Amino acid sequence: MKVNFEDVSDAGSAKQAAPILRLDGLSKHYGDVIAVEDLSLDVADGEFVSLLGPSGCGKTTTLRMVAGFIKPTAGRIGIAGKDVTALPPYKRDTGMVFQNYALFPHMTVAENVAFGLENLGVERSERMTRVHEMLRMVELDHLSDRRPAALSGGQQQRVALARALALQPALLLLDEPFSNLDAQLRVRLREDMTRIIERIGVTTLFVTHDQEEALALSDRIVVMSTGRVEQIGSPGEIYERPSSRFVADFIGQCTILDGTCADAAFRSVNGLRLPFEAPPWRLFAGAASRTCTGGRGGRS
Amino acid sequence: MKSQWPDRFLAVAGVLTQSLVYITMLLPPIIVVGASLTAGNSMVFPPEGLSLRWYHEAFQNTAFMNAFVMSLELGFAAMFLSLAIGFAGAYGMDRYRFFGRETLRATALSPLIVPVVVLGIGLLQLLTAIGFGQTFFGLLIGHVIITLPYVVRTLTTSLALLDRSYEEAAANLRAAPHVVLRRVTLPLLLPGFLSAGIFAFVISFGNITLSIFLGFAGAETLPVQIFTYVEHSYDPTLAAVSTMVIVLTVIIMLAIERIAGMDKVL
Repeated sequence: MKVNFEDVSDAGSAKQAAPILRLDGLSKHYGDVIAVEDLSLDVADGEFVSLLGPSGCGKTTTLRMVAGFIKPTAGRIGIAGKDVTALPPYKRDTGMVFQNYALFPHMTVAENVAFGLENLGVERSERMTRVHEMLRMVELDHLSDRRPAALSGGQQQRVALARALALQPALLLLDEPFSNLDAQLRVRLREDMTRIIERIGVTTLFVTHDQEEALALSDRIVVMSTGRVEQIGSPGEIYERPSSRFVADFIGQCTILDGTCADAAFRSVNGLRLPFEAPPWRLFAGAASRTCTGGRGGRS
Repeated sequence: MKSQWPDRFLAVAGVLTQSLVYITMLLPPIIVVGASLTAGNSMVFPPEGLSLRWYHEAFQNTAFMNAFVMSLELGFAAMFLSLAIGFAGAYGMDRYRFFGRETLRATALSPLIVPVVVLGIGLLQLLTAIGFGQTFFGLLIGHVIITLPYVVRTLTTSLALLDRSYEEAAANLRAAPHVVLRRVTLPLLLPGFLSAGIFAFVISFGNITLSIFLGFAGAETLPVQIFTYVEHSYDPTLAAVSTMVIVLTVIIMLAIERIAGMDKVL
């Protein structure tokens, strides 16, 4: 989708500007259970980064720690150059779209969008201007007096986005915003939402378990599994050069062969020989002397 | 076809049971309302002729009218105090894990289990000892105690069912905790508050045991007044007063139905 982002695989080059979001050794443990372990990540200004992984991988926990709803066990969180680790949610410069949208049912659409501006003490006339500006942006200005219950799922999602963006937050947080929509609507709303996010250029952290969404929307993807980062990279890197067996297995369609390496070639347990100099397949170190490989079939 | 007879039998028995329940529930109020409209001098059903003379009589009876006002005042005061204390308790028990939480819950609900007579004797002793015997305040404390379990229970359920993401969304939109409570949590709990309020008022308004123990001359509630009245006379004034109470209850229920919808509240 976007081509001109820095190659983050070589560390150091990402340091050109101060990151909007900085996670430094972030961990969350519930007793003996590890939800997130030692996660470090810099998100640059205007970047769209996805946290991708199966359920229970810690991606939602990470997002909720950034928003301030969960207190990390260890590590630090910085937003727009400010250490917010100890700050409550309402003192963090983030705007969040919840999985169920969480629109206030007792307020109209316009009141929902105005809520954050009121808390910031924005003057009434300016508030109204901003509210209608936001609602025009998501093409729902004509429904500003409706209650959320009178809107479709897709419309509710757009209101939630308008409400989160009304405060012009430094960081937009999206918690699986498409998971409650049917498949057809999902793709269309995904495109609508990215168009708006791109236009505003807001830095975005997006949580999803849907690899297609992550691959289609992101500048960079953080693949997570059981609380740990498996790989951080662009969609292309993640897809073409998975750094672990888990990533290869989780992203796209692939065949994984177990086997051993000898004589500049890989030999599978069934005797299939693949010479080293011929991609498209990759080697992953397995346990002890075993080596496994993911050979990717189609490239769709 | 023969194998169907147990089903038939059960269906018929079901309808019969249902009818019986409705009849036993509705008949007493119907008899009271009917008897109140009598033109005769004794409380009988069916009434001997129709007239509103006993309503006139009831309105003229200052003892009844004072008791009615007393019951209303006490009921509303107990309701508001009980809602305030009960919400604070329910909110604390829902949101925080602290030492003695279960003990507090059990204590708040205990008046449901302790016989009201026992509670009445104990409270009478206690209030007298601390100088609140024979006061409206003492009576009020008693009524708050017996209404509290209903309030705590109802609001605890409402809080448990409340989707926390609304409060998180509000906090994310820069609302400080007291703003979240005032503009999001409390409005979303309104049906729970109405429900708890009705329970509290009805329990207080109908209570007789505690009001006898803690009441004093000039502070008789309506049930106490009705009870004393029956001891020396048995005329249709009683039926008229009771009918007014029934009408009041129905009006409250209808008003809430209009405002919130009964299915949400109860």
